[in-house]
Amino acid sequence: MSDEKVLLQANHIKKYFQGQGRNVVKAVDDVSLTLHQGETLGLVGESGCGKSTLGRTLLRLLEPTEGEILYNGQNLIGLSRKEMRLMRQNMQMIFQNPYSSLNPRMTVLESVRAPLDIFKIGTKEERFEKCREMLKYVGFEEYQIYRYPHEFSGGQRQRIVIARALISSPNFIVCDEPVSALDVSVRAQVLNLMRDINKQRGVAYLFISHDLSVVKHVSDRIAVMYLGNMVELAECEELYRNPKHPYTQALLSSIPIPDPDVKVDRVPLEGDLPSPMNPPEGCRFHTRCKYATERCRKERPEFKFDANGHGVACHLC
Amino acid sequence: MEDTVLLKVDHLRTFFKTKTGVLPAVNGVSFTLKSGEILGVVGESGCGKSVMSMSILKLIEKYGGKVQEGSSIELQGRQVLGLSEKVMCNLRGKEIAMISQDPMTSLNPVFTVEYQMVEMICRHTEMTKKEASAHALFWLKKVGIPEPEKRLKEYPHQLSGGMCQRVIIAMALSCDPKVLIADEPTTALDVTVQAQILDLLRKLRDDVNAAIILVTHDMGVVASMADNIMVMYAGRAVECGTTHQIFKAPKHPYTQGLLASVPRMDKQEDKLYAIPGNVPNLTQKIEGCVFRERCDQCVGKCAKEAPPQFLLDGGQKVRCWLYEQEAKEICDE
Repeated sequence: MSDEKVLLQANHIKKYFQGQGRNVVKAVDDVSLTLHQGETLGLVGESGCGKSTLGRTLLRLLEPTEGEILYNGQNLIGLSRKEMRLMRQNMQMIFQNPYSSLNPRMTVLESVRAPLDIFKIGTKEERFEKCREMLKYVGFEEYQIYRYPHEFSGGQRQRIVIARALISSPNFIVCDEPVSALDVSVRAQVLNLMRDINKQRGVAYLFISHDLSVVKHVSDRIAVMYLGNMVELAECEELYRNPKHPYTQALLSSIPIPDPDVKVDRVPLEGDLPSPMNPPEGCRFHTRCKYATERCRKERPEFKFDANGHGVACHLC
Repeated sequence: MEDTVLLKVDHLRTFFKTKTGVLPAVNGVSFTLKSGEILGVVGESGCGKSVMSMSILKLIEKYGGKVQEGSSIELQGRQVLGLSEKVMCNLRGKEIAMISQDPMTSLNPVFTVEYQMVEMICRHTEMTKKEASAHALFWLKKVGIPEPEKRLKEYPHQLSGGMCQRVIIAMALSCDPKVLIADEPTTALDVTVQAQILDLLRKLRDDVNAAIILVTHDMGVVASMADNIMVMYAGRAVECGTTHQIFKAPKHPYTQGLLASVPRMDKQEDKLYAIPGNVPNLTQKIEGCVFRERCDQCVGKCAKEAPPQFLLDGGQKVRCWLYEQEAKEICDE
């Protein structure tokens, strides 16, 4: 993995939100990650763990409080609005809800063409031709491209959104729960399409999802977040075979498997997610961890990689 | 006690009148529920699974739906459909309770947990307020809420999603209902919390021997919970059987496709099976089988005539022409 070219490197990203009064919500607190070219990095965690905030921060849709983001060696922090806008040709985003991410007053063709218009790529005819090709690639017929979003179902809309994200030939797409709003049978269509795009066009994904079985299906590597911290990062197979962090273990064992014969040994997780406004001292997971020691309550564990690139933030591993 | 039939639904049809025509949301669904049984109802959005549960509670009229004549819903041998709203109010919560999908919006935000629970308990039992309050506390303990005394005095916004769902479950069970309808009880929750809630439901089923209708779109959830499963598609029950039958020997092409399109945690597959196309628009009358346009095992007869429900060996029921030959009999229509 390490010999592949690094596409995006995020170092010590912090994103704090100002809450009421003196409260500060530490949505993302010191997270570092690298993304290689053509790689799919899955990002999982429960709601409120900061995974979406991290995704948006990487594209500078949210301004990070601290940290640097290197894209092909160039730091994105400090770029002017204009420069950033040009960079965004290379980095796109797919949102969770396909119903609210398309302009209802634009036809499919117009929506997909918008990035080309904005970045002034090609002549009018070339743009049209390119859009038509792209829509065909994601599975639309010629006669459908002048229709409006309301005429399409959720799965079709999500494919339009994917076409729009792809049209400016990006190297990197942040997918924030792209299939969570879709039904099972339609979800498979979209997942297969996304996988094909990754294989055929070499687009790297940051694939954010709370659904571990979906993440497993698409990802090369997986990062697990808990309360604004990254707790574990490993190659997909390795993570599922050998989860090291107690949180990852609990998370993996909570997933119901669609087979009545498979009985899972549950590692039950007690209690609820603490408030990110007032996260626990030391290791943030210690309030729910059954292995927690005195050290965990006081000292925050460092995120360390072993020789195989399996990283974990836990005193006991 | 084992085999008492608690709920018998027969040819339930519920329709909505819309601008574009009549929409048959539930189109002839029949099933029985025995005490202590968990029936899993699976299907995609729009297949009519929620409308079905609302119809059983006779709440669907509030949403503009109508249950067609000829349908029958028997709760412990008593026909529910003809009952007045007043009688229904006594039944709901006492005999048959419901847990809805979104825990955060199912509780009234301006009243404390205690107020809401006591109101319900007093409505259905002879208890005084004080007794009811103690009873509420008992149930909060039972569903595993930490510091129940404190939580009782709190407002819903002070509780997390998982906690709210526990309160709702406690509330639903506090009057010992015979039948519990859980409509996507864990969809809005995180996986670790989902696991807690499912464990809780399983435990309660064993404790109070209530029958549960578990409505969900998650195949993983039903596999670990249900005894029997009904698969719905476009308002029809396309396949019914035991959990083992449905997962190990699915008959209907839709069930097969549904199972194949779920990414598996315990297996590595390269490409997921995708059922082509989309769910049909129900306001347009569909000739023949509803699943025909997305089915890859279509035969000539599928386009002409809607398949009846065939009863196969082992009690599995399937609504598909492919099984006409091996079927023992036709169970309806």
